[in-house]
Amino acid sequence: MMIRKSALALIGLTVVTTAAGFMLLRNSLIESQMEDLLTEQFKARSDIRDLNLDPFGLEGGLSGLEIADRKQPMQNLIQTGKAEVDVAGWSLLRGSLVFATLNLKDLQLDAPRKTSGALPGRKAPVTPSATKESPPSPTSEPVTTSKQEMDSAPATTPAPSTPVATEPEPSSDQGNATASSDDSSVNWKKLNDNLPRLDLAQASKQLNIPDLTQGLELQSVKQIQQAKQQNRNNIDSLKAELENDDLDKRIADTRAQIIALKARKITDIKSAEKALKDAQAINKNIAAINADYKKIRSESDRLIKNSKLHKNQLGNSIRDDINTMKQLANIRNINTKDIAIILFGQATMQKIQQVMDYANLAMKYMPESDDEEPVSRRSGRDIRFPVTTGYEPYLLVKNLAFNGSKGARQFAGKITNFSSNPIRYRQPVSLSLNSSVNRTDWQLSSVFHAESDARNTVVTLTGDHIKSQQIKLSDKKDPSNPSQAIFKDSNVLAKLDIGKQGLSGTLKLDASKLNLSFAEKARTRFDREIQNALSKPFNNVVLEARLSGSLSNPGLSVKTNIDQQLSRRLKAVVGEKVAQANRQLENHVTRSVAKELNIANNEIENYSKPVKNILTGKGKAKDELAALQKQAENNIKSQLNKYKRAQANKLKKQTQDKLKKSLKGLKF
Amino acid sequence: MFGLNPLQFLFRVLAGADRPGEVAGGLALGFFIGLTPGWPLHILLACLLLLVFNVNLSAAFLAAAFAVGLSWLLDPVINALGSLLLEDIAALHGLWTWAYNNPLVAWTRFNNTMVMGALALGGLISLLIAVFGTQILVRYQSVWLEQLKQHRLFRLLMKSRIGQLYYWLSGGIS
Repeated sequence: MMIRKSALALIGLTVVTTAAGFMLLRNSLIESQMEDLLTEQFKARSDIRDLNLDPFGLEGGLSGLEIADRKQPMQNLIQTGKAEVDVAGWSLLRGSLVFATLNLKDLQLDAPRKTSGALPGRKAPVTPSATKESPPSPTSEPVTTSKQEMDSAPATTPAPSTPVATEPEPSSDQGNATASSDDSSVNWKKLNDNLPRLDLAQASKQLNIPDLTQGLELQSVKQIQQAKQQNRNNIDSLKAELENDDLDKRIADTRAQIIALKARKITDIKSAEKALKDAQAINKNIAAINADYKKIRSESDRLIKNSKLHKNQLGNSIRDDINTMKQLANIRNINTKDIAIILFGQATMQKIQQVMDYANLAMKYMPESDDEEPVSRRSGRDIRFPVTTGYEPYLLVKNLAFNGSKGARQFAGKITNFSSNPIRYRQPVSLSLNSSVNRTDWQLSSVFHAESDARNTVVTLTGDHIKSQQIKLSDKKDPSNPSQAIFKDSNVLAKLDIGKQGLSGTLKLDASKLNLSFAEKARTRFDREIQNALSKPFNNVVLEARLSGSLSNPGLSVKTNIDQQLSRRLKAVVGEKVAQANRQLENHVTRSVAKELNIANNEIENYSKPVKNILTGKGKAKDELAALQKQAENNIKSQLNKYKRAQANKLKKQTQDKLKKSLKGLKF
Repeated sequence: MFGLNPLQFLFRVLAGADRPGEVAGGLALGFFIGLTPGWPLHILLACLLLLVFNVNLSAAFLAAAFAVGLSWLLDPVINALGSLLLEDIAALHGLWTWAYNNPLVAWTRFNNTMVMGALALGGLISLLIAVFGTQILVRYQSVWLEQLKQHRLFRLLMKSRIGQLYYWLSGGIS
């Protein structure tokens, strides 16, 4: 087969022309390709005003780089002044934009655009802030004290004005990792505003037992009242029983029988025998009534006697009451946990907000990941094989240095291995960032490994070392003379997971020293002692905060060892005060119980009086019955004796008459 | 300039005017190029071969056009074949992994199921065209064309206007 020499010449000519054309037009070509690649990665219009590269090394400078914000097309995600670049030409030919170095100067974030940066045919995605109603005011938001679940100490009763953290409300955009920073900052501010404000005056408050115990219900008193009510019910039952029993009827019947017996006339021996027999029956009835009455009386007396309450019946309730009161008194008055949470809550919020700002920033400026394109006819499907050599993502900046501003905040920093596919690229991404606004200086430096797709699933940031020289915290109540908490040489360990499932993370602050200073002037010696105790530096303070919810609607809970340190200091100072207060508390409880017992027993005594009256009435009736029976018996006896005497007289007379008649015939 | 008229080419082939080897080479390369989507590295190489070697360009264009349509129709089959080669045959994984990590080979986009399927199917069919196509064309020109020319119907047609058109299209060869 012949070779076409003309074709070979044509190919050679084409190669030479292309090379020459590239030399001449390299800047425009590369500029155009870079714009296309950036546009593809950030899904928004990207422009470069001027690019000037060295033809061989592709090093040089660019100016006027603008990448529009795809969510807000009328503003730029990034806008730079001049930049120094070193582009990898070989990678560019393969469709990847790889910067060996990229130094961005005068970087501006969220700067407005003159024209829309949306790509034709693409709608700007709806941001959560556009779909959500404005957040409720802090006062209307439900507040929970999540410290209770984290503290190892027993459950406390925090003052109503000292909530620690808010849990997030259920939200439709829960876990939306691309929530706008404005939206999230509102929620962070809301969370911050809901934290308790520092009130150091609370720490030096005098122990005031009447104040402390006011409104508190003692368990022993409650037990007395319950027993009292039970006894009243028992007495009521007894009263009803006494009123409804048949003893009165039986007494009445017997009484009627006795009266009838009493009125009976003894005319002959038979009637006398019958009367005696009836009298015996009545006596039996009376004996039965007496026995029943005795039984009722003894039962009633026992019940009434048992209704009286004694101190020893209350068991351990009084001791428990004393312990509870002591606990409440300590918490309400000294309130070390709340002080710790107040102090650390503020610092945590500031630090967390900084880290979250950073995370938000990283999320927002992360390019689109190297998504697989949708499968269409004749497009096929790309199969990925293990990468054994260096992989190159579509966008990679090996060394990125930048400085710029966002609003009032100035910032400068460095990022290494910033790429559109950090998971596959596998190189650790490091970031150091200095930022200052309104004299609140902070510095972040971290090295993190992207463990999964930043845009589409979850981003995990593991801050190995976020160091802060000093965190200063001021009480907002009096800006001119603030109380302050200063954390020195603090070290922050942060782990954040941000994704569609929501936000979770832990942030541990480890400060070698904490200094507190007080704005309030000590009024008493006791105040002074407390302030002095708290003013000495605290060593090795640890604070751990947990994050939940979502970026736009975060939740926070806090755990720290500062409360133990504060507690020890305060105990040493207020030891005598506490002992005195304990004695006062014991007396208070004992007196309260005795007083309540006395009242209860008097009430029971009064309440049982009707029962006693009924019993007395029954006793009187029973006693009258015996007297009446005696009268009736005497009456019968006297009638019988009279009858006997009459009969004897009659017999005597008859005998005399008979003798007289017999003697009348005889003559002596 | 390279005889791009496909109809003319067809009649020239029918008239036995072109060399069988060049025609078969053009058909094979054209089919191979047309079956593969996009412009991966091996297709660019095939284009270079097409330009450098003296193969029939008209045959190549015609075959490429035909292969494009065929690949559209056979997309599922080609995809399945690519998937089979890339994913299902474990013995080849080592080769693919090496190729995937080789920047030059990676330019062939061999890891795409469509490209791999087209490479395998197109390579096989192109080889068959190149080998058997030449033999068939030689036999056509030496035996079948002579038999055809002796046929009464053919002679009648050649005397009519159709014959004049054929004569013109085939470049005056009869």
